[in-house]
Amino acid sequence: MKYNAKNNNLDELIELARSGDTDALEEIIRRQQKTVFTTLYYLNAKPDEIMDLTQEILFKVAKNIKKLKNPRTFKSWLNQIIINQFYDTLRKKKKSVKKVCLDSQESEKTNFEIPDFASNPYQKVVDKELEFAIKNSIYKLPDPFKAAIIMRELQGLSYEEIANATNSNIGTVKSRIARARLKLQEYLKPYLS
Amino acid sequence: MLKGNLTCENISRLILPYIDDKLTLEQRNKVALHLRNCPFCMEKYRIIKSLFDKIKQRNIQRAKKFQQYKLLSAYCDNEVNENTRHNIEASLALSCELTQRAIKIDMLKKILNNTFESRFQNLELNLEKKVMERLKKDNIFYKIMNIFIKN
Repeated sequence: MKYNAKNNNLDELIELARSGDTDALEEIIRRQQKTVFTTLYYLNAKPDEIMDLTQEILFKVAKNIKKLKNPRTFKSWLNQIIINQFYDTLRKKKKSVKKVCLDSQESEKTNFEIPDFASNPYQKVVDKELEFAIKNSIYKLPDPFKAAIIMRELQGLSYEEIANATNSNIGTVKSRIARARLKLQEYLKPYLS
Repeated sequence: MLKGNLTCENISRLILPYIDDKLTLEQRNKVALHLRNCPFCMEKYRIIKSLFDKIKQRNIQRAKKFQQYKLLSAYCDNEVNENTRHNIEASLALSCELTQRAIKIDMLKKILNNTFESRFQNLELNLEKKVMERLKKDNIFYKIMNIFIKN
């Protein structure tokens, strides 16, 4: 009887994928896509680019998984890919000449709205304001603080994993997370009292 | 006024680096000599030094407070060693202010976690098939490329 990849834990799937098992690889992609998407969302990727970026990152993961030496470092490795890809895209965009469509009346959107996937309308209304405040507060953080707090609170990465993902040491991660928290506490004060 | 080879104008430029200990020994001696002999510059030095000390003291206190917050933040993430954990817990039992700070960190963690979880609870992306398809095409492309390179 063929095994079902859905029953394996992430470490087992990584081992199988590294030895060329495509079912295991597909299951890894299926499990990680939401993490990649939400991380990009809070890093502030543009709504019209977020899907393409997610796909690009997942493709890099699929293509390079055999190069990953230790399955235990998968989360750090994945985040390295996310961060590199995200900031590479930003850098390329800054270098390219901005094209302006003369026919379009729409001004550039600064408020990054993406489709809301919550099914409960009441909950949607209650959470919307807080969600908006959180998104904006994270947006205001300096890049290294932003990445560290997203990896910690959104993905639940350990300080060591964050340090590996950001090429820094644990002391730096500790400082970045603490500074991000101080800033967020300041920005979100009305919601924390 | 020229005192100890330095004018009062020179001293205006050198007072800050003198207070901040950024001068060479020779420069320091010259500034000290001028200050001893010039009441006007000495008064100026006293005012700046007192201001400098206040700022320095405030920065030290801020740094100390941040160090404490950093430890507390790592403690809330369960990222401190056993010894530090015991020390923090002992301090928490003694200080209401510290306990309040820990509660605030915990509240922040909770609202972030809840929001992150609920925001994309029902998100369906279904990108796995597309990615695997692209990977397949990419592999075929590289196989063909290799054949061409070998030939």
